[in-house]
Amino acid sequence: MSLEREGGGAHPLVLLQMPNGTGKTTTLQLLRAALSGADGWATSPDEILRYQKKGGSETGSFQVRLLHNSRPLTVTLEFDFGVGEVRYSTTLPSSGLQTGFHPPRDLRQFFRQSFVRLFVFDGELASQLLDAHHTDASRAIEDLFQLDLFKRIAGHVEAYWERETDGRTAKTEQGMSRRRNALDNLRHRIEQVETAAKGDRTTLASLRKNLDRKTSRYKDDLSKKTSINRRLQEAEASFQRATADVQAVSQRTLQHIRSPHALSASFGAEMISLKDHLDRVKLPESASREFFQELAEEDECVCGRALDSETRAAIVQRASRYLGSDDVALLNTLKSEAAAALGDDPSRSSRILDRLLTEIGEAVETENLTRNERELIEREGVQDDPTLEAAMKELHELESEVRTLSERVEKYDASADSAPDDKTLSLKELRRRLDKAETEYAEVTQTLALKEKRDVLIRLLSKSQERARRALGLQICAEANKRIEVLMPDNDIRIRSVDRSISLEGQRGGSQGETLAVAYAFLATLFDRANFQLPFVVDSPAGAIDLTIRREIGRLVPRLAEQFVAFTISSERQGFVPALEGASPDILFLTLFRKGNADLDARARQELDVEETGDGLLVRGRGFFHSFQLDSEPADAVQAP
Amino acid sequence: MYYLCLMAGLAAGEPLSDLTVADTSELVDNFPGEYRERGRLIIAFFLSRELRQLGVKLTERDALHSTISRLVDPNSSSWLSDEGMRRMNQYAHGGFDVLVARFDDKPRHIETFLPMYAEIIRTAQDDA
Repeated sequence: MSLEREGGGAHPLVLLQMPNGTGKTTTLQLLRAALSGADGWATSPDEILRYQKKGGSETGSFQVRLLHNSRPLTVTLEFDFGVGEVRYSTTLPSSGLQTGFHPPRDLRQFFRQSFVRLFVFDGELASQLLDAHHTDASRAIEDLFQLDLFKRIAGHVEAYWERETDGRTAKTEQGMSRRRNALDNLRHRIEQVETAAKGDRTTLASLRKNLDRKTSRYKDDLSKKTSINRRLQEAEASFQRATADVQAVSQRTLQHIRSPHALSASFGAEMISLKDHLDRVKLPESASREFFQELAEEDECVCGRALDSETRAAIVQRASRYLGSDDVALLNTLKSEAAAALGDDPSRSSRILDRLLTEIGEAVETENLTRNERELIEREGVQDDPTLEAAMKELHELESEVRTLSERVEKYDASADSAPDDKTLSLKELRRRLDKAETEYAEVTQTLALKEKRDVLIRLLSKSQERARRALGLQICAEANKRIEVLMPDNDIRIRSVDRSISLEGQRGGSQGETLAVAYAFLATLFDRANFQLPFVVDSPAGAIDLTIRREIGRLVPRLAEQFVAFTISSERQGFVPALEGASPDILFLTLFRKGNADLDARARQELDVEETGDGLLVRGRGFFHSFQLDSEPADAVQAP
Repeated sequence: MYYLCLMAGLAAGEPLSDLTVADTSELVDNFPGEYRERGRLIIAFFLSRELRQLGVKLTERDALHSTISRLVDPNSSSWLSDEGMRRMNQYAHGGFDVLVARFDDKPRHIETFLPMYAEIIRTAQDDA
């Protein structure tokens, strides 16, 4: 059925007269489904099977062709009643035929089930707009003014917060408190250890000073023992020489092991093996990458042949398989230094280490022997002198004390320790842990600061949405009341507020006619505010309204939308259609009915513009429309699209 | 200290692979003092061990070429690329753990440390 004008464009006012039972409701539902996409379906097979014509075929289709900004937009529903499925396709000049429901981006906010119901309208929605259990009125405002933008912004804020804090373990006050305590405990522990370290270092210095002083005095006293003096001096000299030998051979060994191959014969063998294999696979190459890159810029190859672009590209591409000149030089140096250091005998250095380690062992043994010898002479000197014996004993105790305290002080200076915070003495370790704890605390502080900002922003967005909705509700309410006053000047029914639903002043609900009039006024106000001109399709626009209000609605309807399509029955014409014609003379009158009444069918066929299908007749024309008087048909009337 | 740990790590052939870049950044990035003149020998040994660790056969020219290219950088003070330095630091860190595990007590004298260290290196080498 075409609502197109001759010469293009759509008829602004269409009255489609269909007797009861010929599929008005079905057509309206299909229209809604076509404009809402899958969103508009309870897609159970049973729901879909409702649209199958009794005894009809297993497939069916319903197509809506619209004009969007003067360009065609077609939505097609293909029904497969065998499996209970419906498939969408969308055709746009820009993208052609696409499977699925793909309205242009700027229409998507309107082509949703909740909004489509506002402009493909029936009496049921009119009563729901005034029903406190439904939110259609507030949703209509939210949809039209895109108030969900606030929610979408809030969603982005939430997503940003999640991204920023992803991987952060503490995002709560408890988490911050735990980290704050950890930080405080570490700071306290560091203070404790620093104080202890300071005290221990002072004590150690004092003990060492005391030890040095007493050792010096003890040695003086011992040297006065003429019976052992000379032998003690010789033993001390031997011990000092042995100690020096130990140090010397140790230093030589330390110096020697600075070459890896000294530590193990197999290390040397490995390095020589690497050098030999690099030689064998010709790494590094004799030519470097730069050579080939430069060659590719020449007119001729080194062999004299001319280079074309294909050959050049191949040379540049293969140049990457060669090392750069710096790499070549380094690899050559590595190889030559390995060869020079290892020579023909990679295990020589390792054997030298073995000898040095043996020398260390021997030197240590000599050192121990000379130490023992010196101590024996020393004991001989003190055994008959209680004062010296007591001094020696005191020295030994002092040495033990110094040793114990030195070990403790070393722990303060240790670079790392795995002991827990309350056990470790390593100040470096504790400060490292403090650094980490401070970073973590700063992170959680930052996280919480961000959380507070997120919460404030989301609260603001939510309040803004609510305030915008309320303000718009008040404006819509005032404007709609002006329309109601025009529609029903003798009726004091007015909208009190538009919250979840439309609330009326002083009463809980109106009559069916009043409800419809209020809904029209509300929608007319809404559509007036819309940036888009949407068609307004209404089932029974004046069904239950008394004659006076019908006339007012008839006058209002042409102003509701740029295109008004009404599904009517003959009994609605009175009052409504004359007023409509008075407001706008450009009306397309259509009458669609089921064939079967011979007189009516014959009369229809005499009309100038008539279309006939297998079971129906469609007549275009005002005269036939006004004279049509068949308002009832059998209950099993047309159900299929 | 770094060198002694590095050799222990290379001998054991087990770099501490879960070490992050941030963890290794505190370690050295060149060869200081007396180690400078042995630096290239150390690099040669490191390359040999890393190639073995990566399962690169010394006869596979392309694999050798690409691995060595990735690990060395002749223009850096260590002659190693960032990746090469990170791997070397991982070996040194692994070696530190090897030494800590093998020494029952902190070595206090160089003459007792050196024989034990040599023994640890050779044992680790045999176990690797």
